Amino acid sequence: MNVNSMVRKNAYYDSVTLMIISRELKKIEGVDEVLVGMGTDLNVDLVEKLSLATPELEGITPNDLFIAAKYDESKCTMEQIIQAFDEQINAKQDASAGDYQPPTLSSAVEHLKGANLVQISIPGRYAAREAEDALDKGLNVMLFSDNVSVEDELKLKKKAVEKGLLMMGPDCGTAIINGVPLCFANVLSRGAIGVVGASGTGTQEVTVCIDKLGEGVSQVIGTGGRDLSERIGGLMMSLGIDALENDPETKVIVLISKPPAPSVEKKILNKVRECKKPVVVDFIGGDAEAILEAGAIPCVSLEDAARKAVAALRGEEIADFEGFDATEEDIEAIVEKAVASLKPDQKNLRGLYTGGTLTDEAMKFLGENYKIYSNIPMTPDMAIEALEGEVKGHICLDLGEDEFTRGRPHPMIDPLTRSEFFESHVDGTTAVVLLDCVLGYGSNADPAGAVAESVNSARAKFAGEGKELVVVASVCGTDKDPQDLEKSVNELKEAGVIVMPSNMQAVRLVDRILARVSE
Amino acid sequence: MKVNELFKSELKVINMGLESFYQDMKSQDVSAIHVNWKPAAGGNEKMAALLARMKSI
Amino acid sequence: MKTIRTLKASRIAEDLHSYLVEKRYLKMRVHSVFQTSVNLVTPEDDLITMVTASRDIMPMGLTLDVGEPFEWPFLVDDSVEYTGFPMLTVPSCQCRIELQDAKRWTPYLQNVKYGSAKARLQALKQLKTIVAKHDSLGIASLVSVLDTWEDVSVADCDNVYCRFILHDMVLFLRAVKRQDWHTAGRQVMMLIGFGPGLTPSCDDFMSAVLLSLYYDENVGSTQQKERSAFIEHVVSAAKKQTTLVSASMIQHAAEGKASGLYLSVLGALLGGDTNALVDAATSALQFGASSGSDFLFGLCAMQQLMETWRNSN
Repeated sequence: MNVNSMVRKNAYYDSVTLMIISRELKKIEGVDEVLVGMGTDLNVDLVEKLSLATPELEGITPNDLFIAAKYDESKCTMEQIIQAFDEQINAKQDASAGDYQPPTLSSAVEHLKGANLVQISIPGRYAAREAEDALDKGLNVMLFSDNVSVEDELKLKKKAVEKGLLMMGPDCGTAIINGVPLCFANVLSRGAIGVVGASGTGTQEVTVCIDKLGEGVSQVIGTGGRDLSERIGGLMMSLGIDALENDPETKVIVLISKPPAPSVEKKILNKVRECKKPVVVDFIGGDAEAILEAGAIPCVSLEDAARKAVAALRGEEIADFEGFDATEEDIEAIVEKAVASLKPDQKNLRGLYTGGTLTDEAMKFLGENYKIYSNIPMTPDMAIEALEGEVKGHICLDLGEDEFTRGRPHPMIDPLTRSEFFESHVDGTTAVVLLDCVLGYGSNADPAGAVAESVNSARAKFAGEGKELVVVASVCGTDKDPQDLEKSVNELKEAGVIVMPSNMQAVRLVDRILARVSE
Repeated sequence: MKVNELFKSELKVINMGLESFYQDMKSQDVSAIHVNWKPAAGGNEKMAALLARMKSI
Repeated sequence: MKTIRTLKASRIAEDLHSYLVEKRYLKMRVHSVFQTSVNLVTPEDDLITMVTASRDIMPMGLTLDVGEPFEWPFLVDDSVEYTGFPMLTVPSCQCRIELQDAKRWTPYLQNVKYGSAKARLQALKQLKTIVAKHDSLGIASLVSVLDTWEDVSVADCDNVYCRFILHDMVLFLRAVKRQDWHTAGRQVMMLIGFGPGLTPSCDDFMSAVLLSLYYDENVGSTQQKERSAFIEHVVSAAKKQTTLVSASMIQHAAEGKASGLYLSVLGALLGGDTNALVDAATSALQFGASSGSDFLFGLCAMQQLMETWRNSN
């Protein structure tokens, strides 16, 4: 091991840059320890304590920068380390130097001639103001930010309706305009099905299923989760229906939302009744009669909505889909094998979802048959708080909710939250883990890999107790997504995960397994 | 409706906030520009409201 | 013929504004140039910080109305002249900076609203979670010490800086908890100037300590003299043993001044406004000038200690 150091007089680089670079330098092959810092007495003390001090550091002052390193001479040299430092400094400076970044919306409009949509993801309390500014400039808005007040939302949407512009959001996670995925969205084939969705991952699931069935989408308009509330009155869904009805590319319209406020449901269905194009409606768990009465097609699941939209487009017979792609014998064999691998005390469900609407779908179905603790419980006594940190009974969580993510990115971006729940919540009483894996733009670069890692370490823990673990998942993604559907599915399968073609089929399979273990 | 004009035009996006959304646009060759947004008035809420009002006058 | 290039300041800190209007002539030099900021140093070793629009405005600072990336037209050691309001000129590059249209920005918290004890505790808990989850390259992961501090070991530290400073940090925190300002002052010598970054981590931490003391609503109740002596001690230690940029930041903090986002975090924390706190803290980590997580760690530490003072009174 060799020790060396270098001093630069009056050299200033900002704090964040210096901190990141010293971490990068440590990764150079042969480098054992490296410190980069300003030459204060205490920093020099640290250098000495780590036995990195050399005569070069004598006479250093707090306003001088030093690099001190211990490294294996046979693998690298001090020159290489310094060179790497300079390269990193220059790379940092170039990274943002590529494209011009204007400071305000007004200057952006001047620089990008013909701009027609603004995508906003700044903190909520500032977002309404920028969105309003955008609408005033005649731009369509995709507002990803949450924590925007209902009053602001109403004001923005009224303005948008007046101007005939899209005001997607607040809290709008997904949209596809002119074939371009915005925020969290999958890469889909273009086609003739237009979608208006008030629930992000619900919309992703429906559109992905449409793609898997060989059809495509014309436009996917997001509204944000509160659009169909009493206060907002479905302003954006109404505008979306009009826009898709006027759009010659769109032949079939799909509406997706949690059950709307009754007055809003009536308003939307009145609009649907007048619409000349076929309309498929999935008000997840909503009133099918009212939808039928409005001349539209009601659905039993997100996947069913996709199948019915495709059938309507192709002029095929429309029927509820409540089964599996696989044959009944194959499904029974999977259930049989899973159940046989479990010990008698393994009875519980652990639903660890990243997608909100996918969690809803699971809870709506499984919650009918089992008592499940959740942050979206069927009854108040099953609220997750009732557990007081204890892990017991069935649990199903939407890990994308604020209470789990505060201060950290959404689990679709940063898989750490789910990995932590895997460790803390998948205990010896667990029979089956149910989860989603959402691909597409905006999502993590390898969500399936993170799941596989968690599953493998859970399996190792279980093996210590002589137990096995059943994991059922679905992948919300297409073969055109940047993460690659096939690769993701294979990663999961290699970790022994049972991968189902849709969330609903995964839920149904889990239902069968739970029915057997609770006998 | 203006929305239907959007459906017939090339999408050109102004991104404000998470830079990764801008990178996603660029990787798909969508015309886009990223606003180097920061909280107005250094995050001073009252000041920002005031500035907004001044702008609208 | 060379043309004169004009840059406009969009905002100016009130303290800088007052400082300049009092002077008729001032010759400064460019101290340091970064991507999004430039420091000027006055003959009295005061720093003036100019930032581009994406950066947080600083006390004794101004924001230039320019987009990014911005190529600063001047270099380190260029001289900058001030010949009376409203203009700075940089003769070497035929460049001038106009100040007259700049909006005033207050580098203090105004009309602080103190929330209920319960709301503030909730906010503190929230901030600790945010800091603990942030990938800290400095000393902020020591935030975990605040919960287990009678029983800490270097094994809990995730980097070499934390390991080195843990012992002295705990001694400092214990002294502040006892309000033993004499011991705390001595311990400051073991912290100032330590850590990675242009403003070493402990300096960011220490400026949060001073800022918290400044806005303590119970100020003046006890040990007024000892506290003032402690604060002076920190300021003079900074002048001796750390970088000029750090010393300037600590001086401002002693006077209740900090950058806009840092003030927002403190305001939300004191007000017990959890929603505003989450926004402000994440913005401070994202857009903040220096090692934001170390500063937030300092706020957490002081709010928690002040809470124990309140309970013991």
